Amino acid sequence: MKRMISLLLALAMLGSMLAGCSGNKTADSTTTGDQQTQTQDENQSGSEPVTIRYYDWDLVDQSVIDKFMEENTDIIVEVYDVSANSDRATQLDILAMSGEIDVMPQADGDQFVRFEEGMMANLDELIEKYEIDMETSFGDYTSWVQYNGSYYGIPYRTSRTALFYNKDIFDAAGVEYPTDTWTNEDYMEAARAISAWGKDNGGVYGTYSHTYGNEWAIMAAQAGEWYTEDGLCNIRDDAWVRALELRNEMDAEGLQMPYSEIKASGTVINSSFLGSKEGMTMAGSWLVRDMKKTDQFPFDFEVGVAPVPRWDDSVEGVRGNYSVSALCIPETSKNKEAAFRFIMYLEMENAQAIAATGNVPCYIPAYSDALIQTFVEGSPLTVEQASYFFDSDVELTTNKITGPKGGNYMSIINEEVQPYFFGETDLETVLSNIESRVNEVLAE
Amino acid sequence: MSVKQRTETLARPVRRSVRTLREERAAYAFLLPSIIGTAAFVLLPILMSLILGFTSWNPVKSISEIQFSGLENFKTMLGDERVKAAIVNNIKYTITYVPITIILATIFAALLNKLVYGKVPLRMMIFMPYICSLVSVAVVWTVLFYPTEAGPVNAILHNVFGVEDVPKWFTSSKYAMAGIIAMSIWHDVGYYTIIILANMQGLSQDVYEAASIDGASRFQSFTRVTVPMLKPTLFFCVTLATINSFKVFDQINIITEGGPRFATTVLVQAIYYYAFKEFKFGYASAIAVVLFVLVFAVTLILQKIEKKFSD
Repeated sequence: MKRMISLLLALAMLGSMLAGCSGNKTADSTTTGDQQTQTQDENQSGSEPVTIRYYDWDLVDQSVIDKFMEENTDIIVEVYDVSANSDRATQLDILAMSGEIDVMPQADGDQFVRFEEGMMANLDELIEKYEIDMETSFGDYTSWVQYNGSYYGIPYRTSRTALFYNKDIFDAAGVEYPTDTWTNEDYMEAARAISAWGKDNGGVYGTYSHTYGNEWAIMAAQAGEWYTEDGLCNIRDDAWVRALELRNEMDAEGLQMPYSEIKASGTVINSSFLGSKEGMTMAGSWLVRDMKKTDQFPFDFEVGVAPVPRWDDSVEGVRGNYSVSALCIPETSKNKEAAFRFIMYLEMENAQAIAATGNVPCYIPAYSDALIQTFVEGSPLTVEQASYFFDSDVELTTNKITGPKGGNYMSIINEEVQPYFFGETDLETVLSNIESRVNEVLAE
Repeated sequence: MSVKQRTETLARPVRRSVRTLREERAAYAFLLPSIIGTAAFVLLPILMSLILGFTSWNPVKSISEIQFSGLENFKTMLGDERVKAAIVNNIKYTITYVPITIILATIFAALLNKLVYGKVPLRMMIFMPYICSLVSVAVVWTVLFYPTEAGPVNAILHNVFGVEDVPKWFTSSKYAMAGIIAMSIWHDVGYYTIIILANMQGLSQDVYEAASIDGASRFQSFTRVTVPMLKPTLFFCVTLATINSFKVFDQINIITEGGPRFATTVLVQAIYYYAFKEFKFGYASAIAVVLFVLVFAVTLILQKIEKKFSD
């Protein structure tokens, strides 16, 4: 009897352990391509709805998801909020590799590495099947979701950089507000004047340049090229060299919080600028989203918005810097078509909901004053100020590297510029290291 | 003795062994879940890493797309600046962290063992850092070692000791690793102190009395009696600390992310980088193999040394 009981207990332990280790087996957990399509078709034509998992760090209102499910009874959407930490991309990658995700965001140029590695599904067939006119719908944003002439994602949100300034500090320091025709020189002069005033006023800096990848290159992107004509690393382009020097000079002159202190203190743009620690900063349009979170970032000064200053006198027109986040479907997803339908619903029918989160949607036909009004609601900005983020006449360049091996290129630059910004290495060593490492990667 | 009696006597051990066998079966049945768990989550991954180390594989692609690449990954490693820096940094970390931690732990244990008053609160104070989350400790140390005179440590160096050019600590290639090592020692020393103290308290007092009668001073008692008697414990601690030192990752990833450049990059971080940033699982596994071989070799050497000292 005792033996029976002990054996039963052992079996129960084994059973519970195995049950704990097993995942939720879904009806469509097949692996090969043909079977996958068959299962999907079966699911969509049959009575069983398919469940897709959508992960994002900036979610639209749940009512949008509910409405989609009401209108598409064959699809159930499970939404997962990803915490906005520095390892979020890796966390999503791991989940995507294990087939846990059907829809996920890709941002800041990270997407190109994933496209190259075959991590994201090719969407050409689905785009054709659903007759999506990518050019009309997303314009230039499409270049952020293409690799080797194919689409691997749908442009979702764009981060348009602007020069945000604190009008109260500008007034107190007696500095004129930035204009559309400001150049780098004007920007430096204003930073100098505010810093001088700030020395006796709580140590307010003139400006703030964050440590994000290639943040030092925002203005220089108007003049610089990342690749030579032969497709090699072009880090020795005068614009990049000068931009790197400028960042160091501004740190040394005390016009902004030094790079090493930002790294050491973990300072971030939103809390720093909205905490009145500097007179101005170049930040993405996502700062509008954070301005709406007054409980998290309380501030009581008047905010101004101006275009990104021109790199030098040779640059003309109103300039801007941008990057695009895309919604992608991992190659491991077993419900690609359902995921695609959900993405297109989010993008094409819910631009207002995206704008309401303080993000600029990429779906161009939805751009209107009403959309901009929704975008600024809850922030101190006016429609007129925010129209800069939606203006198609603004000439856009990007500080991110979107060409071949762009992700690796940026990550190498990030590693190599650190000792230079920390004041440990000379610029020539940095340039030479970047050049040799990037060219090695490009040659692979 | 009759034949029947003799047969019964002979049969008894056989009956016992059958019972023992049944008990053993039950014991194995209870052990089975753990055996399966260890095999699935420890042995299999080790085996997979060893195999993957000789392949080129992107986890996004199916297992069937694994390509055997022979020693290619290991050859690539020879020219890989990140891996070479990681090996050097790991060795630097180990040869400073292990001896300092164990020596400090032994001293603390000896002091705590001799103390009459305040033993418990002091023991708690020394052990406290170990139970603190490494993430929060790393954040606190980042604040303490702020790179300017505004940081508490640099403020003392500047204002009390008159250091003009204060170290930039975690933002300096020269000091970053030293800062990481100091933090790790502070965090872990309490753990080894408790292990050594527990063994110290179990040492026979007779030996100390004999040493005292022979005229040994306190210091001599410590070096000639305590330390030799603690040899097995100290070797255990050294082995444990060495293995842990090769696994260092959390604090580095939080504080410096391996930088500036490769100044604090270690092997586990290189594995993480290649696996999850560049999706080169084959190459990352090859680095894991190197790490395994390194740890295994060091452990073997330590065992040899221990055996030699024991003899």
